[in-house]
Amino acid sequence: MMPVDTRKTDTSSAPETAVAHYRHRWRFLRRFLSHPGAVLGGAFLALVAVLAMFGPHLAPHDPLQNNLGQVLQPPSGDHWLGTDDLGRDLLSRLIVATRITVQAALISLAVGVGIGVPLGLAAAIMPPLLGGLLMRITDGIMAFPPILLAIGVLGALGPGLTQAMIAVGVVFVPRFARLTRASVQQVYHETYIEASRVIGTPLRRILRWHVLPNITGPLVVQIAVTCGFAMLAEAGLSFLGLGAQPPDASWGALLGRALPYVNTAWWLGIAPGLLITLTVLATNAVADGIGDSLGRGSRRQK
Amino acid sequence: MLALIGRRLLVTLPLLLFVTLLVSLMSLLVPGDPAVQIAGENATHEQIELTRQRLGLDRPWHERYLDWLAGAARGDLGNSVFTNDSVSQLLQERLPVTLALTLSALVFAALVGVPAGILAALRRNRWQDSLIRGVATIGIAMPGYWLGLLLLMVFAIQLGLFPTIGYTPLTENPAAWLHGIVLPTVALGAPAAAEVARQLRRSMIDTLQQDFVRTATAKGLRYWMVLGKHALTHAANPVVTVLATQMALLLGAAVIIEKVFVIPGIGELAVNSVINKDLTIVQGIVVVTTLVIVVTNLLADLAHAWLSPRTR
Repeated sequence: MMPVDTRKTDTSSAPETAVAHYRHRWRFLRRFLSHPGAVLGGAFLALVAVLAMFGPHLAPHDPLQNNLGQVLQPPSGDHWLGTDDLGRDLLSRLIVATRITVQAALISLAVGVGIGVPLGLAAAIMPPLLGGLLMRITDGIMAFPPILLAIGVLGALGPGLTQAMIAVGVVFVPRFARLTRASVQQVYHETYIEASRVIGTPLRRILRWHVLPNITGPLVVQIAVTCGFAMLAEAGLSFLGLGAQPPDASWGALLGRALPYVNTAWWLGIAPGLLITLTVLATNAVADGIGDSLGRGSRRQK
Repeated sequence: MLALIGRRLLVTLPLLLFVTLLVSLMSLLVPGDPAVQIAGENATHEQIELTRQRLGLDRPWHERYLDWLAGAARGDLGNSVFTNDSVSQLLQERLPVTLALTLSALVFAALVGVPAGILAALRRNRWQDSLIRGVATIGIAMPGYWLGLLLLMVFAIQLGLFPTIGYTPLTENPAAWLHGIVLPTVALGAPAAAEVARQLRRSMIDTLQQDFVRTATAKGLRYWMVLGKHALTHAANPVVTVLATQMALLLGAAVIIEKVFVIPGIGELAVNSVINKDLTIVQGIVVVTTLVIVVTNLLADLAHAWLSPRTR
């Protein structure tokens, strides 16, 4: 689990002055920039983001245009990455698939964070017995193989990209809930929060101004780590044909479609897999960089 | 030791009940009426009604759940809604295939990950360490099925060293089974091996800095004795935990690897059941895999107790 600062003092989440805040952010950036891997990963992710935003304008060919005269062509000057079984340009399909892939990862993250964080928050401030019970339940769900859990949820929702990503998001819920609960519990009984409660600050304000600032660090790291996993999970489910449905394609779906042609058209299987691997690699590097650059306690010595 | 097993089993039963309840509740969420689907397109109202009765869908949900539970306790997981095959029978045929693949991947992960992790820790910050860490980082980011696809292209299709498709059951011809399972094992086990290596490296580095290792060295014990007898048993503990978690991950990932290598395990069954909305089968698969994972965790706990007497 994430190392969380236990030496936090009462001042750590007190409203900061603008200058201190600025200095804070600058220190983070300086540390982050001293990790070459993280910077490289960040640059690659920026490229992926550009592809996701402007993909349809950047693609050299129409990704959905069948061309039965040019089926399964190897890479050439006209089709840099070759064509698929319907004569569609693979490069264009990859570029356009970027948006679907990124969207999918974001949906599952939104589900995981959107349900997990409030759940963990509730579990932390609830009476211990109830909160403990809630955590036992999340433990049970967490013991489960992620892909199989997603398949189980898909069994109820039916195949499809949105359903698949909701299913993956469900897998993330217990992880975010646990992290949130642990982080909140660490600060919730600090003297300054008790004091704030005693003078009658509404719960909502306590959570917003004292608790949330303390959990954003670990949460951001967890989101970054989860992002890579979300991409792998989406790719896996789409590979199985349970995610993106034709004619739409994500990177995983393109890889799945390449499978029957490994004998004859090897190029179909190279580029999508490489792109998935590089993106996950970049995401993990950025996650490591963020983890190392955040506050005193979250830094790990190598 | 016995108390530990007993305690774990006590926790296990509610967990299993909870999982079955959850899966059963999911059936209420399924959009569309299965009876309408099964009865066919041109079915009359009476036919649909008959199908519904045959499937027991006209009874309230809790009754169906209790019925299923009573059957499950006797090892009968119900029948497929579409083909009426016995789910227990289907799982009996397919689960051993997936389990064999998963276990061999786990063995591969340990055989590669453990030496790599130890080497990286002993040669910390030298080129061996950098190399192992680099490969492990890539191994974790790489989807196993893509690695499988690449292995298939190079070793099976280009070099012809391994069969491309076709699965030989272990009981039929062990040599052929082993030959066919090599590539899937590597593809499935590689990410796990990377994780094991990373974890062992970290825990080994921690261990090597501890006082008891220094004491053992200071009293003149040979280097390999210190490593093997003292440091390794201590550092092995987190690795056992990793292997247990990996077992759960591998069981899921096996579903995808099976598709690449056309292995008749539970993967294909699971995917088809989801597409056909055959919930009884999905339910059976979920329950049985939960059972496997519960047993794995129990074994991991026992291994912990054996490795570090403090938790005994």
